[in-house]
Amino acid sequence: METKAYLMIKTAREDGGDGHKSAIKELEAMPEVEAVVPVSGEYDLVGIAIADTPQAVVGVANTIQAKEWVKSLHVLKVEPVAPNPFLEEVCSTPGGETVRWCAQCGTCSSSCPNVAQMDYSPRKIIALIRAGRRYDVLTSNTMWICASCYLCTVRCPRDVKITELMHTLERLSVRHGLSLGRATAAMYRAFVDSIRKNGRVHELGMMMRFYLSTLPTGKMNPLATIKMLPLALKLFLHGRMSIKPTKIKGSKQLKTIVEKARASGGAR
Amino acid sequence: MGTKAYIMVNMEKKFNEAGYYLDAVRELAAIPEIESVEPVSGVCDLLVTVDAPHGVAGAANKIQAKKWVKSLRVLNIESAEPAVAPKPT
Amino acid sequence: MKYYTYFPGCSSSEGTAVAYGLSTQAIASPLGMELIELEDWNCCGSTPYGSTNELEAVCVAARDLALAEKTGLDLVTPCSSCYTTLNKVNSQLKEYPDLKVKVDECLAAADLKYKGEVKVRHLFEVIYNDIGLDVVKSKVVNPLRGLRVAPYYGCQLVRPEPGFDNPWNPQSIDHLIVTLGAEAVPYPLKDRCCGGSLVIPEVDIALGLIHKLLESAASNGAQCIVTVCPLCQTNLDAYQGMVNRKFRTKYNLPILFFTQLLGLALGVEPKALALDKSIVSAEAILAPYIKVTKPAV
Repeated sequence: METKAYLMIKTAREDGGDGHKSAIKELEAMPEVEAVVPVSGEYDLVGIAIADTPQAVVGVANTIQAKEWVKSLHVLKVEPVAPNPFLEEVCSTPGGETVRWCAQCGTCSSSCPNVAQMDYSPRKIIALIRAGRRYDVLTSNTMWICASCYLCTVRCPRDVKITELMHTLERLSVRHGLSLGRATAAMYRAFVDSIRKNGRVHELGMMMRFYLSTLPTGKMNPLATIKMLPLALKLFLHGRMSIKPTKIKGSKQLKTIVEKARASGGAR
Repeated sequence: MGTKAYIMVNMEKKFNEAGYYLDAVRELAAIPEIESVEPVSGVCDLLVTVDAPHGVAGAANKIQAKKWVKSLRVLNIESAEPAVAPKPT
Repeated sequence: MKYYTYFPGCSSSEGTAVAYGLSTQAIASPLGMELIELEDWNCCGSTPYGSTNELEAVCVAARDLALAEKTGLDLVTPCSSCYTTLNKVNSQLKEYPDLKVKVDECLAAADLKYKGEVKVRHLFEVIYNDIGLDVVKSKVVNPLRGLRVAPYYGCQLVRPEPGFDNPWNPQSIDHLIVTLGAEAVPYPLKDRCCGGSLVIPEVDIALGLIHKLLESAASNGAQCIVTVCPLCQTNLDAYQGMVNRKFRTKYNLPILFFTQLLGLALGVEPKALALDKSIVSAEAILAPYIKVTKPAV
């Protein structure tokens, strides 16, 4: 695979009055070296090398480094960038590949009950994904206020799995550390922690953990949390809120499964 | 006489780890003074080419202002012709 | 007698929808169903797990499916979310063989195996299709004549799984209400979202949705709303007071589980239907249908 690299060279001697001309000539004689320019700053020369393989570039760098007039050599290997790595990332999740089928008709957006509060509507999110706008998508609130009602999914004329896409975006946002402070993400964490610990969701424990976790970030008004207490009390008095969590007998078995899943890496 | 300059950009570690370099490339490409951006691996994370001397200060300021930039270094490409030495008197 | 493996889900077994679990148990044998609870079931993961870690979420749900497969029976759940989640996992394991390979490895680490043969069904659909409304009608001893009920499907009974009922204009709960002798009120928002679990982190958004649902039911003359989902019931019932405070409304709509309404019509002892667990009390509107035997003086 063709590899390009910049070779940042510090020379061991003054330029000898010829602006490094002889050094440049010597380097440009090498077949893999496309061009060499003199620079001022931290380095003296910058060479551009293009070779068939990364190993060939290393070979060239070593050859140059061995020259007695080269004081030091730093290699900057140019990273190949896929045309749209974010789109590839989304498409690699089960159901994610359907995002390529979108016709931008907007039926999803007009079906969504929460679209008015979204930074980007479902249709726009798909357009942004296909435009590679990773940061904008993963820092938006769109997927976090999706209620998973599936109206978009059943109405989409192209069978794009939009709700599943929202779940994928939530996962990617968390994975890339871009969901800090999102209340919904905190609630999900509390929910999943309860399952990992007990095998089931203990609602009181989960809600307490959630409300407490939002206080330090200041994302949720502490007064809002206090407003929930009468409701919690009402539910408790009606026998709908158990104090103690139930732990399933197979919690160790579940733990084994979860740990193996973690060690396996990802779903694809 | 116009020439070019390289600007070597280092990203803040936490942005680099979040895979932000792809967004960074796009952000830098939007800066008018910047001619090209390449993500690299080595002593820096991004290599930018700008017009010199006019584009350097503007580009450098705009790049430095970005929250994900840790540091940058400018390498001015010298013109190929050496400066004419003053004639000894 | 029809036998099923029963998956209550966290909410209906011990959580805010415990009345759903209790009323389900109460109507099972009158309808000729034996619901055998899945031994040591774990939470299906619902939306939160799937949105956190995909492989883990699928594996966690797969444990339940693996355990259920051993029983050889269909897996029936009253919870729309468990129904959607477990069905989704089943579909994904079929459509993405690479995923199945990974899941198989994780299950094997715990000595479990899942071939992919469990049919996951919603309790409502089972009663509608397996028992049938004709049989239900024949067992109605206490017709709920004159009771105006809004049929609330919620989102995840008819979506995204196609096949059971019309996802655009479902009618199955309407039919059940009529079968029980009551009046099914026209309800334009019958299959719209209550906000689901968003009611916890985004309470204002959810209250807006709940308000619309209550308004639509009330303005169409409903005396109560019947639901098939534990989250819907909690949202419409427990948060009705907050809706009233926020929007300066005066809703007083009891929100019943379909199993509770069904049980009443079948003559099941009201105490067994856990009607007292509702925050918005149904006592007033159901009084005509509950025969109170006064002790002889």
